[in-house]
Amino acid sequence: MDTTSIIISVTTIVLSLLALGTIFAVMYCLNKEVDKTNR
Amino acid sequence: MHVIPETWSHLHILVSLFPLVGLLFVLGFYAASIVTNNDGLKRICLMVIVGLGVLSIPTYISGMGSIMPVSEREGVTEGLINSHYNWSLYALLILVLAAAAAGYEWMRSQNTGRPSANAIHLVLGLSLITLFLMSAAGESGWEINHQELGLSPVPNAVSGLPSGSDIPEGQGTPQAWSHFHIILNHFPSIGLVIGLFFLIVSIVMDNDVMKRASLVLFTICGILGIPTYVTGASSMWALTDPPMESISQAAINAHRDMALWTLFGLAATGVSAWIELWRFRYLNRFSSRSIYFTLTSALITLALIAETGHRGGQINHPEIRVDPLPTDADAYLSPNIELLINNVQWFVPWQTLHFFGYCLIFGTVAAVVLRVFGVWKSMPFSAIHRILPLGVMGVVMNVFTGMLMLLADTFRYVNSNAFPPKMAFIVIGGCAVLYFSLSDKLWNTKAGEEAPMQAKWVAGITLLAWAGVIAGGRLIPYV
Repeated sequence: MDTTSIIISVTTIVLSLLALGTIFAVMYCLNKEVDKTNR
Repeated sequence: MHVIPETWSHLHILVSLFPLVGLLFVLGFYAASIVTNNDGLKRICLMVIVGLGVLSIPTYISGMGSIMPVSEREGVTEGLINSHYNWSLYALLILVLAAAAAGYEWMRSQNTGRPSANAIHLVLGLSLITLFLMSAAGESGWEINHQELGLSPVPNAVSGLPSGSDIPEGQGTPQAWSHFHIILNHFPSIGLVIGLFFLIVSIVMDNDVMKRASLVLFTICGILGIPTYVTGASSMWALTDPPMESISQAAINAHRDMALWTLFGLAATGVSAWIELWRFRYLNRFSSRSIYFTLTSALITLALIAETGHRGGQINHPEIRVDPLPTDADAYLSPNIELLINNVQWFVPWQTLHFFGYCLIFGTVAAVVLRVFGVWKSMPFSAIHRILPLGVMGVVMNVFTGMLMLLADTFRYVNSNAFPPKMAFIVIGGCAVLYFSLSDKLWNTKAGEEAPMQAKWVAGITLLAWAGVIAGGRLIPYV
């Protein structure tokens, strides 16, 4: 693998993980209060 | 301060938008007050229509004061000015009548406690006539200041537009993009002003219907930010390729930089407003903290949009220029982002996130549509409503990544036949989310119950719209 391929792969994986983390964090925060109120 | 007008022409450009675009949004609030039968909102709307009627005075005076400087511009004929004057005069006269009726009813309702249905409908009718006449006045006004709209692109560009991948630079982008941009860019800016006014009044009056209507308007402004930015990028090519003598690339880049910040500001305001609408369904109250966050975000975005509008006006309104135009086209952020994102090392990672966004959007749409069509009937709609933020997050991800990808090669994107329908489908699909968040009938659909027929139509349109967005995006390089 050349340097460009490594940079693309690493950046893609890091950005994807960040996106997944953000999605789960936002959904957790949004639903926490709703679950508490509607229990 | 840039936004304080120093000439009649500048004042006319700013103030004349309120009786047109402002009136459209106020009528949205007015319609909401009629549907919900909310007397507080009806009376505020009557008051605002009186305010718009008062604005007809500076609109008329500044218009008269603009005739001389504008008529000196090349290509501005007496016929163009007369056409604009006549449409505007009729529109302003009907607006004054609407404002007089609204003012009378507002005062009368002070004593009776509630406005009468007949008066409410009279004001609505007069306002709709004003809106129609104002649209003609606006269009004739743009013809005066924007001579470039009448230009045809270089031959072969309009008739038989070749596929995006084959268009060499220099063939010209249709001026229809500039025309759309000139119309569209006023909607988020005036929408924010009107939305802020109603949100502040709703906080003071503690009126939940008015708060919801304001949040809906902020969400719409957020959605409209997307086509506004995209048509702006397209207009840049329409005005610079081939180059026009009076158009400065540096002035366009200055406008583009601020437009990018504004786009993110509109997205933040729209999303925070929508989340509050979503939460309201479960909590049955608005959180003060969230409302004030949206208010602050809208105020910051308004400041950004004011500067963006000012810089945009500098591009093609020599009559309002007070400072010399910038000259260094490379001194701005947008061209540097273009260079960066053009590199495959950045394009591919952001494109990957774009696909994540599509998955979130389409997964959410599929789940909602399946329930509405009656496939998951054992679930109440409120359970499906819980997953809507996933789809909205997908839209946010794709606005961010999509704009970066657009900057990689705007010329090819905007000249692809698949791009305009894709943009139209995004707006349709985005607005559909509002229906699923707002419809009381749908929200009250219990487990085992059939969703209303209206919801099924909206669900069908939503599914087709987002499928069209995905297909349109994939077709961009080929058609």
